[in-house]
Amino acid sequence: MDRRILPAIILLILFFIGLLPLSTLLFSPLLKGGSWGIYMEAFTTRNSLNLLGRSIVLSTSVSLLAGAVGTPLGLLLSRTDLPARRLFAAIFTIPLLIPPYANAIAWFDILHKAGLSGILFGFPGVVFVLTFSFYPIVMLLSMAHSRAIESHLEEAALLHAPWFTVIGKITLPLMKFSILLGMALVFLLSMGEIGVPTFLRYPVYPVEILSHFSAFYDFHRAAASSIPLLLIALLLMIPLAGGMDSTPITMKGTSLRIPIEGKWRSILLTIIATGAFLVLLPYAALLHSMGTGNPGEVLQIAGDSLLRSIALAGTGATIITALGSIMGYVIARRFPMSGWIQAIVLLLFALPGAVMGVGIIGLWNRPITEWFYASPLIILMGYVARYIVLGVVASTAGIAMIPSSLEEAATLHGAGTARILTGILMPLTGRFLIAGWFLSFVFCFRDFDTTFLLQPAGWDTLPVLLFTYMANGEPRTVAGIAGIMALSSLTVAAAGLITTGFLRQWRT
Amino acid sequence: MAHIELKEVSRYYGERPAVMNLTLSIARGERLVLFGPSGCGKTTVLRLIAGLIPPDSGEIWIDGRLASRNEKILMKPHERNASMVFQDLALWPHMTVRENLQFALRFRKIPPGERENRIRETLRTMGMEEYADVKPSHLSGGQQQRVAIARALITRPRILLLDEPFSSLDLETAYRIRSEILKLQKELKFTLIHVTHDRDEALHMADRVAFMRNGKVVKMSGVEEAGAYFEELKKRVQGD
Amino acid sequence: MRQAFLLIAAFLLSCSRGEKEENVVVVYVSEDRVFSEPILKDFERETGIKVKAIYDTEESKSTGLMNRLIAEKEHPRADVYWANEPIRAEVLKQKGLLQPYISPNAGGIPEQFRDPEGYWTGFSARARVLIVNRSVEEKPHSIMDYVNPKWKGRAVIANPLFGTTTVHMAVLFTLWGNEKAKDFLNRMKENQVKISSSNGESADLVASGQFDFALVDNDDAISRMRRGEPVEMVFPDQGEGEMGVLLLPNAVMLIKGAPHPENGRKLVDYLLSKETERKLAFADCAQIPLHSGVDMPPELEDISRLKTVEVNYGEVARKLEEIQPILRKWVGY
Repeated sequence: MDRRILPAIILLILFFIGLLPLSTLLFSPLLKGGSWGIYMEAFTTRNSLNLLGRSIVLSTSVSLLAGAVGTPLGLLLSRTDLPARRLFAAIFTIPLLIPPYANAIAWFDILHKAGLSGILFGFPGVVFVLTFSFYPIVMLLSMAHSRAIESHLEEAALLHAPWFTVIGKITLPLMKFSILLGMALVFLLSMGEIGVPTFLRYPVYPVEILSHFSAFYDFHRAAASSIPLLLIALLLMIPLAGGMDSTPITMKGTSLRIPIEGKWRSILLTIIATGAFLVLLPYAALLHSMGTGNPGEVLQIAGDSLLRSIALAGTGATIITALGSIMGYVIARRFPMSGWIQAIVLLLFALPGAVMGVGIIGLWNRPITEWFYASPLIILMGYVARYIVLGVVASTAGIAMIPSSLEEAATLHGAGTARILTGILMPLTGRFLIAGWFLSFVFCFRDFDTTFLLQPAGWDTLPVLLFTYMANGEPRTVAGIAGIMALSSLTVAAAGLITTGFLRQWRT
Repeated sequence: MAHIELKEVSRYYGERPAVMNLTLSIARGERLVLFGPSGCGKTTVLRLIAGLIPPDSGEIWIDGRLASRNEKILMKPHERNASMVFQDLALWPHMTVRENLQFALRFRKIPPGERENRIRETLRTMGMEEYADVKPSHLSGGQQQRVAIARALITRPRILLLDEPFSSLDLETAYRIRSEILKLQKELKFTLIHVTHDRDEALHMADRVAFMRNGKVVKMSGVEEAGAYFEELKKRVQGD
Repeated sequence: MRQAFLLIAAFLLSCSRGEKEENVVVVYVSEDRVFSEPILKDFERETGIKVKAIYDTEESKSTGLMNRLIAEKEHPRADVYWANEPIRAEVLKQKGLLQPYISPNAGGIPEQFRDPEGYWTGFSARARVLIVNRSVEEKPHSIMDYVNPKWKGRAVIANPLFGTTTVHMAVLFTLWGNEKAKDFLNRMKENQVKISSSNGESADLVASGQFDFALVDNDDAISRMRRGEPVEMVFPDQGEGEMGVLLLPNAVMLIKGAPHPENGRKLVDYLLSKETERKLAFADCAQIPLHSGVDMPPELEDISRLKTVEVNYGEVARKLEEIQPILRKWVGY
């Protein structure tokens, strides 16, 4: 088969779910006789440049800190022989499952009680809350990758150096791609975050976009303002692509346990336990301050939304994983045009959800496609467009670790691309695909921006319900809904950790 | 005094014993070949000696020091002055050839100037000087083999462990590299433990051959006696 | 596994058929869900018309339903929009999204609170009041007290980039003209007025005694009073020659090209009834009925006894866009 056919089909799909809605929005002012002026404004007005600068500094700080926290944590929780690692891993994942805005509220609540809420405002506070919300991404990717490192590479080094050096010189460099990737995702998420900086009163660039929406109802300007975000996302591709080139092909092997001995054991355990305590603290305080709602009553309010959330996130994650694994294959095996695919999926992720949402409405809200627009399918499409990158990333990382000889062997026996994907690569990358599924589930499950704009009437999901109740709702009900959300995400995360094998005890 | 001693060493993988009650004494400068079918525990013996894994029971002594005992590693791998060449070579893919060798020297007490000399000299011995700044993925199989051996020898180890490193090489290259190792061994007098299931290789490298099956040494013999035993084995298989 | 997929697919499809039902009304609601949902449930029960609602979030948390209405302009999905203040109604009118409709129930509502052509009609208003800590001896009685040196560093106001505070600022700019209003803002700054994140936070800061007073919505004040916190509510600027209290009514409107216009009108009529105003007065939002003679809780004042700001909401809507940069600069963005 021509190696251009598969990438071409993928690009076509991406064009329909992502680029077409976006271009409907971006180019319509031009078609209607507008000018390029509004596009230039985003780059030339002092205010927006100033905001853009702040946003870049903010996102860089958050992604560096998330890397610094997430990487060692991932290593400690996946590869060492410290006790209760599975429990700690689950606890340390929680902040990712909660919308960042809710994290900000939780921290504000506890610091407010201590009379310290002032320190949360401004730059340091935003950096803190965003790092808190996003470090699990780096942690989870580190966990997945560090377990996939061929044990001989570390053993060979152990003959010459102690573990400490081996980790620094062998293990971490081998994980470079996953760490960089995690940090890039954190960077993009921080770049697009609106709720936390607004709440903590630190002006950032996306607020510029939001204000074009909320104050002026000017979609075109909002879309034009998101172009710098897209350019930054593309710039980010460069080091990432570099990282991928230098990523050595490692076979899936049994990973080594890093023994932690003597005083280090107690020191690290203390640090981890303290960290886990700090992670749980704000949620415990929040639940305490809101009192315990009546579970039956809350379930009555939130039950349907919960079911819808699970159905939508489950279906969304499945589509994302399936489509993502094909794209991951094309990228990992360097098919023609795979650079474009990477760029587009990253771009869709970096785009503010509201811009994408308005674009999708503009494209699909027509009499002829009403059956589609007025159904939950439109939400699924929004999810796939926005979060497909997660499925792509997971499968790219997985497939890159499988020697291509395995496929070549299958080709010799007459297997086609589809057979190779389903018969060889998917089973072998199982752990990565499952991890990708759960990651996409979590992101779909907690998605608010896209769902809010695209939900058919009477089709709200749990986060939408939560946000609409936060407007003067009974604090106990709000806490109850947040509680259900946290619990269900946690259940999913625990299931994810179990199935991906993080919890299995290895003896080497 | 024996250089390496294993006393009633056992090691299990789950329920399955990889090594059972093995007692073995290896003299300084001896060349021992562990011979047997795959899965008989040969590689596990190497990893036990290297200190990469502890025994579940039993003791391992190196240079008269207790190195491992009952689930505990008492001498860390890098303190045992042992080098190993892995079956898959385990060259660090993110480092150049030179960096691979440098890493091996990191924790040896060698003056910096001397390090560079030694790297150059070792690469020359293995005929690899011109590839110093190349990453392993750009080398051929035989060249990678030489780098792996260079990395093992550069520390001037007292113990060299070879885990079927030649199994993927063509006959001629394998023979040439084996001969070079033998020459070096005679010169440097390190203890060599070599795992293989290739008869010619075993006879070429060994002072003594330990025939292993199901985690046990079923026969220990000198190299002439081993030749005879191979013939006997062959007849037994053909007679079946 | 396959059964699970089929089940999910069936679930998704069964839910997407809903729109085909004839006896429904689709309403987008920006009034807080906790207050609006019970009213809509009552409507459903009393008329048998199924209500499909999408509720909004607080303004600072999303781009909101307004954007969705505008994005859907070419092919509207909503029949009715229930806005929580009239400025949005004016914006939609100016963008040509609305269908005029003069409800028979609109008659009793003062003209100042409805569009003369019937594009939108106001009901149940929130009042912009001063919440004052009880320990303060001489109470502030006017928003001019924000620039009175007597209260230097003692007053707080919500971030004027969001919500009713934005509207209030736009009203001041409309009434006073830009120069006088800017001067007022600058003097507020000199008087060390603190900016909080929301009206709710302002009310809490006053209740806890950290500040003496704040300009908030009346429901923020009344909820603290009902909780027994040491605060009082003052309707500002009631004296001779003063501007009066600013009332921001809810506004209901029919969408042009609505899929179910007949049911839409029925819902508009229902929302404009005295009964709805009575419910919203007794609910926690404690909104002031615009019909006179409606039962209300004791904390509220009858509309006929209040001196109110007279303002053209259309002008305010236009002003709102214009002053955004000024407000952003003032807040420090």
